[in-house]
Formats: sequence, C-alpha cells, structure tokens
Amino acid sequence: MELFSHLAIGFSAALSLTNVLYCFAGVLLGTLIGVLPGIGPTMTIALLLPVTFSLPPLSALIMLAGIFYGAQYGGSTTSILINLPGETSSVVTALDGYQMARQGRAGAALATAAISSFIAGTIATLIIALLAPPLAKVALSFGAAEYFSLMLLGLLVSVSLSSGSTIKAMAMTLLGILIGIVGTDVTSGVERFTLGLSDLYDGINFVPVAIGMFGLAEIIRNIAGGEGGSRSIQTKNLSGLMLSLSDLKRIIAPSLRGTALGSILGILPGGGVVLASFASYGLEKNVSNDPSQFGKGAIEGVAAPEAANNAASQTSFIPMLTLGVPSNPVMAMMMGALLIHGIAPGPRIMTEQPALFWGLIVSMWVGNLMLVILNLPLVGMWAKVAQVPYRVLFPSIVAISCVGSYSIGMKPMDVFMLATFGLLGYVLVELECELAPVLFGLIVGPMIEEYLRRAMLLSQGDPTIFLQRPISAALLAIAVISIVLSALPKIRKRRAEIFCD
Amino acid sequence: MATPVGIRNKDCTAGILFIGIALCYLILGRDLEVGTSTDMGPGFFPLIVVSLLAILGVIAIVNSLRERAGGLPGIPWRPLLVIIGAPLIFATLIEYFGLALALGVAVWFSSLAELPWRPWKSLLLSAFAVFFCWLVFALAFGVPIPLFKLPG
Repeated sequence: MELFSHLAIGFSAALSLTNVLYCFAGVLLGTLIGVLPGIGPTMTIALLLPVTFSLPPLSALIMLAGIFYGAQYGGSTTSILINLPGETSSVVTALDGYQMARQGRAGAALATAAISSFIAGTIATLIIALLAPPLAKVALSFGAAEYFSLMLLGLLVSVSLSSGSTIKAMAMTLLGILIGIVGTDVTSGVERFTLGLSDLYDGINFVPVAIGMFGLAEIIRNIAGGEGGSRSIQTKNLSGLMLSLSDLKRIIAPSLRGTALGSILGILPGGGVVLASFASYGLEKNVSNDPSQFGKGAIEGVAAPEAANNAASQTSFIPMLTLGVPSNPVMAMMMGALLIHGIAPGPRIMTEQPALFWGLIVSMWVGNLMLVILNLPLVGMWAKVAQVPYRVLFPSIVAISCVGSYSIGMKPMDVFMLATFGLLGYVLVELECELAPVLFGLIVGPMIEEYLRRAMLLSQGDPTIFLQRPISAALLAIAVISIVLSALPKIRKRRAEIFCD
Repeated sequence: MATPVGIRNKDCTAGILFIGIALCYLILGRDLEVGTSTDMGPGFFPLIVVSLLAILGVIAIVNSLRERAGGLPGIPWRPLLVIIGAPLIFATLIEYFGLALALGVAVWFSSLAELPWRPWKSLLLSAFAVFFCWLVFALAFGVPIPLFKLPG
C-alpha cells in the first residue's frame, strides 16, 4: 500500500541523527517553556520561531512541532501539579488532574496524560498519513475561487468558534488583514500604508506581532493582575508513575473517544485544540457510568481531554500542509515559518517535497514517543521549573522577545513593531477582543487578496463566480452557516457554557 | 494605581477603536488606486476591508448603547510603560552599542515593572539574560549580533 512507502520516506528523513536531535530539542524546550507559568504553546512558538530560521526547513518544522506538543504537555503538567493550566486547552485537565494529585495520585495523572496523548498521537499520525494524499488530490483541482472561499471559510469559522463577541472577533480578523496589507503590493508594486518608511516596504513581519501580542501583552496583564503569589504544588507522590492494570483499562476507551473527537475537530479550519478538550470532557462525562466522579479525580477526565487535544493538535496540521490554509494561530505561525523558508504549503508539497511532508508527519509520532519516554522521568524537574518566580521569568521573556525579533532581519523596526503590538495587544485584550483572529488575518490576508484578484480576473469582474463553482459555493455556505449559528443567542449561551464549564 | 479610561464601556471603546483604525487606513491610503473589479488596483481590497471594519465598529457602538455603562478596567501604568518601553530602549541602543549594553539596559529597565524593585538582583538577572541570549542566538544560531560595540 502506498501508505507504507510514504511512511518509509518519512522515517528515513525524520530519523536522521540531526533531525532526531532537533525533535528532542524541540520537545524539551517546549515542555520547559510550557511548564512556566503564564506561557502557553502559542507564545512559546512565537518566542522560539526566530531560533528556527537558520535551520533547514524540515529540521525547523520538526523542532517547531516538537515545541508545540511539548508545550502542551508542559501545560498539562502544571495543570495537574499546580492547578494552574499553562494554556486554555489544559484547563480541562486541571479539573480532575489536580484532584487526583491532591489524592496523592499525581504520578498516575501525569502518566495518564502522557499515555493517552501518545495513543492519540499515534492514531492521529495514521489518520494524517491516510487522509492527506486524497485531500491533496481534491485540492489540486482547486482554482483561485475555491482557495478564496476556503480561506474565507477558515477565517469565518475561526471567528465563530472564538469565545466572546462575534462582531469583535470579525473586526479582529479584519485588523489582522489590515496589518498584513502593509507593505509593497505584489501585483502593482505600489507601497501601501508604509508611512514612507523603507523598513516597512516588505511588510510587517508576523513574528514580532505574535510575540508582542501574545507575549508582552500577557506579561503586562500578569503583573497588573498580581501574578507571583505562591501556589501549592502537589509533588508528594510522584513516584507512582506506572499505571496499574485497572487504571490502564479505564483509560483506553476515553482515550480512543478523545482521539476520535479531537481528530475531527482539529481538521476544522478555525476549530481546535481548545474546543476538542472541552468537548471530549463533556462527552466523557455524559458517557460515564458514574458522572459524579468527574471533578473529583476521575482518571477518565484526564485521559479523554489529553487525547483529544493531542489528536487535534496533530490533525490541525492537515489543512495547513495539504491545502495551505491554517486552522489555528499556531498553524498560522508554522505556515509563516514555512513561507519564510521559501516553501509554499499546499497540495503540491506532497509531490514536490515528499521528504519534507512525510518526514514531518513521522517526526510528530517520534516526538510523541519522546514525550512519553523522556518527560515522565523528568517530571520532578519540571515541577521545580514551574516554581520559577515570575519576577525572574518576565524579564527573561522580554529579553528573548527583543533579541528574537531583532534577529529576524537585524532591523530595529522589528523590535519597534514588537513594542507597538505589545501595546495594541494589551489594549485589545482589555477590551475583550480575541487576539487569535488577528494573527490569522495577518497571515491569511495577503493570500486572500491574491486569490480574490485572480478569481476576479478569471471571471472578468463577475463576483458570482464564487457561487457558480460548486466547491466554492459549498465552502461559502458552510462559512455563512457557522457565522450565523455562532451569532444566535441560544448557541452563544452554549459556547459560553463550554468555555466556562 | 490604575486610571479608568475609555468611553462608556468596553464594547463602545472597541467600536470607536475600530472606526479610528479604519479612518487611519482610509486617510493613509487615499492615494491608492481602487480600480475596477476586473482590474483590481492596490486600493480595492483595502477599501473593502476598511469599510467592513468601520461598519463593524458602528455595530459595536450601537450594541453597546443597549448595555449598561461602566465596567472599564483601569490602566496599569507602571507595567505597561515599562514592558513596552524595554523593547523601545533595546531598539534605540542596539545599532549603536552591542548586545550587552542594549539588552542589558532594556532588561534591567523591564524589571521595574514589578514592585518592589530590586536593582542589584535585577542587574544580575539581566547579565544572565544577556549571556544566555548571546549564547543561543549569536553563538548557537549564528545571528551576527556583536556582544560589545561602540558607536562610530
């Protein structure tokens, strides 16, 4: 079967010594930073992106991917040990995980998180390997109109799935697009919105924007909110890292259910990791024989969301790699990284760069394996790291932010952008506007304009082309439905419920 | 410490912000050719986006009039100015002085964000930060930032 030859290419690329090392470095760094309070996967990736620019593309991607799920695992670790989720998707893990820790079963909780994540990761990798080629074939028939509609769908679905006001989320997407437009227009060669500054001719790099908005703004909020209080850490019984047979039996079904749910939700453009973990917790509770146990240390309540969020993280690579449409801000940044390396993700990537594509997919599995084998024994170390006082942490983040931004192009302008968007990010968050759509719009914006232009050229100015072509029309219909659904009051309440549960 | 700011409530302020940004872009891009839909000029797409943003801003303001006024958070001046100021300091200094001075000063400054300020400990921390960044970015990843440099 083709699958095996694909995986073979992948293994030979991923298992080169350097790539294994980069994978390990990524996973280690990701966990290390993910464990730190106040730093989630999105921010971790933003901060470490500049570091990968000097690496060859596959190694860079492998390392970034490793950082991504390493950071998620780090977030789960702090959820379980300190009840301080490092990231939104770990919030659910804290519900039962911390309770388990308080009952002296921290080791079991951590082991559960690792094992169910690994199960999910393995299955998700297979799903990707199976789904990607047919999806790419379909995508090859995509024209400009289909791409436009697909990207619009991605933008709109991400808006509809974000919590809070739909109006504001849409505005944030538009804002992101406006930021992305700054620079020289590719088609006409005209400079747009550059204020005459030559440093802006190439546009505003998304990295300082991401670091500023997700990093600096977060620091300001943390300090203003009185971060730095002591938290009680449950490190009493970390020795029980092996799961008993009965525990293992209990987590298999939830892990599988979580994997299934997570895989589906991860592929949805705009969908995601957060939704996956919340939804699978809800599902598990509904399906359980004894729902009252949830919230009190039910091991299923750790296994399912952990599996779901890992599956979702991996399958969220699919739309980005095969279609060139990122499904969440992290994917948007990965795509940005690819673009910087001169690789345009899309259906052609599989045929033109098979080693890159399959190597990345295989290394995702390798990374998951590393997480289980290496991180569990290191849990004690992670627990100590998590206790780093914030006043040591935040200047370090500022340092990395500055140097990272500067190192992109050796331009002080990039650091200036860092400051600007740090400020803007803070203002927006205080006004209860979602930041993720901004990053999305920033990276997708210029592309969507290009496709609009081409589609209009082909149709000779006729806007109905988007409705005439069936795939495009279908995509647009889904987009409209999802927005309308999200704006309806009844659904809004449910979304709030899901997010507040 | 914090000063309440903004208008009426968060949504209203956000709406005004949106309209403000839309206007800025409108003014900055007033010379851009819009073109026709067949032959889209550089101004075509921005015009669409800007108009949509302005409309959303109006909707946000209208929506906010239905809600109660108030509920605006205050501005935490200290962390805000310090955390935003630090990269600005770095950006100003880096081209003239090397990493050590530019980053050192910036990071040391940033430690002012949280009270009580511990000047000597922060100085030590910034020294570590400088060393660490130099190690990772300059040495390990070959970014050509000199550690020490003098203007001229």
